[in-house]
Amino acid sequence: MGIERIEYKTWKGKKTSFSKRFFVIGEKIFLNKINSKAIWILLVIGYILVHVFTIASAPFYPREELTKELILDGRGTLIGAPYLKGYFFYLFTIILVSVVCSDILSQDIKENSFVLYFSRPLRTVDYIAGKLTGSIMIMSLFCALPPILVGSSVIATQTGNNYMGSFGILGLTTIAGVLTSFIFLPYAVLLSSFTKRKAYSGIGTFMTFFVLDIISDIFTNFNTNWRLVSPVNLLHYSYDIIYGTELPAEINSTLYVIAVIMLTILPLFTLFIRIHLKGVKG
Amino acid sequence: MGEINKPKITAKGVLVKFGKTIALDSFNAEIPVGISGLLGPNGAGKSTFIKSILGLIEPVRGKIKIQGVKENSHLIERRDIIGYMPEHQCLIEDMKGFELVSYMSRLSGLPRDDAVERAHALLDFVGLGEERYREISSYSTGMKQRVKLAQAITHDPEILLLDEPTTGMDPDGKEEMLDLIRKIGEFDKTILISSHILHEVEQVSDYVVIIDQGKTIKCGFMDSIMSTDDGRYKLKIRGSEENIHKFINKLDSISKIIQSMKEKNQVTLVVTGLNDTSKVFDFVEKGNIQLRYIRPDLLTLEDFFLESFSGR
Repeated sequence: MGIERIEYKTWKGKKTSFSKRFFVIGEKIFLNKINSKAIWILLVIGYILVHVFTIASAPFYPREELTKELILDGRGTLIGAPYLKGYFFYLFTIILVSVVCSDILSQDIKENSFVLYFSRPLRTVDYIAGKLTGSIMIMSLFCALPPILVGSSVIATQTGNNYMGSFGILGLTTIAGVLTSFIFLPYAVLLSSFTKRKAYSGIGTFMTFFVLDIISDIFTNFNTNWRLVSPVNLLHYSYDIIYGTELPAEINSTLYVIAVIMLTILPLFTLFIRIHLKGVKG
Repeated sequence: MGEINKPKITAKGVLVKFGKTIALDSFNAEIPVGISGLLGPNGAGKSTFIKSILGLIEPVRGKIKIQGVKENSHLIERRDIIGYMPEHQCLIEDMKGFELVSYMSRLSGLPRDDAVERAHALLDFVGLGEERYREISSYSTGMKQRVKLAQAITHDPEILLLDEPTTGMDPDGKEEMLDLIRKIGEFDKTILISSHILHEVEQVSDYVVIIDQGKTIKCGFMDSIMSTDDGRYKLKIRGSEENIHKFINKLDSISKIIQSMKEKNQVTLVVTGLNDTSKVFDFVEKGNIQLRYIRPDLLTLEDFFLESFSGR
């Protein structure tokens, strides 16, 4: 008798599909972030300052249907101040993105854990997609979930019968929320790949967006297209397009597309190249 | 030094450059199923070869083939059957040991429940008990090495690449690590251990590849390296300087003297190609010298290693 020695055992199970493994990274990031005190504190403060009053008051102000004006500009709410287009909403979004993404790649660089990922059957795109998925899930808690709650509570208490129209707006609100959750991530993730210190990455992300706003304000006096340099303006123009409003006449639509690409596609492409150049092929 | 029937890994003319530095220079090697040692001094190209097998480094020229993996298939298919234990720090420090191994299991394709079960089984196997629930940042170097091994074998890979697996471990820990490697090797795996510690490789390997400056110097199965079939003997003689000199000349005519150590009026010699020892006794009798001993000399990996580098 005695304790049996533990021997090596083989594993003969069925492996999951290659293409779904990015979700494992996403899930891990979501769980890690959701257990972080800093994220919770930010979410609580952000909810109190941005969402709570709108969510709480929406059912008590019965209206005919859900409108884009209510979601974007807060028209007909208790506060009456802009909701999705409110500056606090934008401010908390960029603070949250800075905190969420501060260590998203910088930790892997610091701990050299890239090699753990890429010695496995995982492509560079899966790795990036996993990191983005996890971050979007966290960002959605602030950027997408509350507007959907607002929209849903309005629909639940609306007096009119145009439910189709209301659900249409709710769908567009979901798209707008997901866009808000995503649009600042590529740049923040890219910045996190430039440093081993998460403080540099987080502050760098926030300051970049802040400085771009200032630059935009200064140069808009010379040419209105400079508004596109500001991430907040770019976000608001994107809302307009999602809700079916045309861009203001003084804004060049081609420049708008270029600005969106510069904020999303270009950082992602640069990130891909950077990881690839680190000796991580695949 | 022994033919390999079906090599699991074959490198042909592999050239790897880092800027102007050549890390692997037309490198050729065949790695059989079983435990193989990849030996060489620091900077010889051992880690580069391992990373090239994984596809983490792309050779400028040449090919690395893996038996059972199509040549033009995507790298992820190759990595699917490989486990890798890196030399340097790579663990995610704020994760718990168990958390990291189950996470890596899932990334390697194990379903969630299997990943949890396998992580526990492997952490038991590598000897991490309750420590598995502690953050990795609180682990000793030896414990980190064990976690690194566990994460490498999580998907039960056919090929296991171990880069300096005993680095930073105490003597007992090293022995245990080698024992673990030996146990994994019992399951028909291809294990390649990169090391510059000859004694360790000698203990566990069936086959060795010695590399230096990005080139294969020698390779062979351990049993053929260690064999004395080539008439390898060690002998010690005593006598006057003149008689010893004459004896050495005669001995040199029937064998090859590869080592000679002189101490006062006696000399220890190591020879190869000595097929008839009776001639030695003749030389001793006629040469008026004393033969203290003559015995077959078992070659150690260290001798093999030193011989490989002699004249370079």
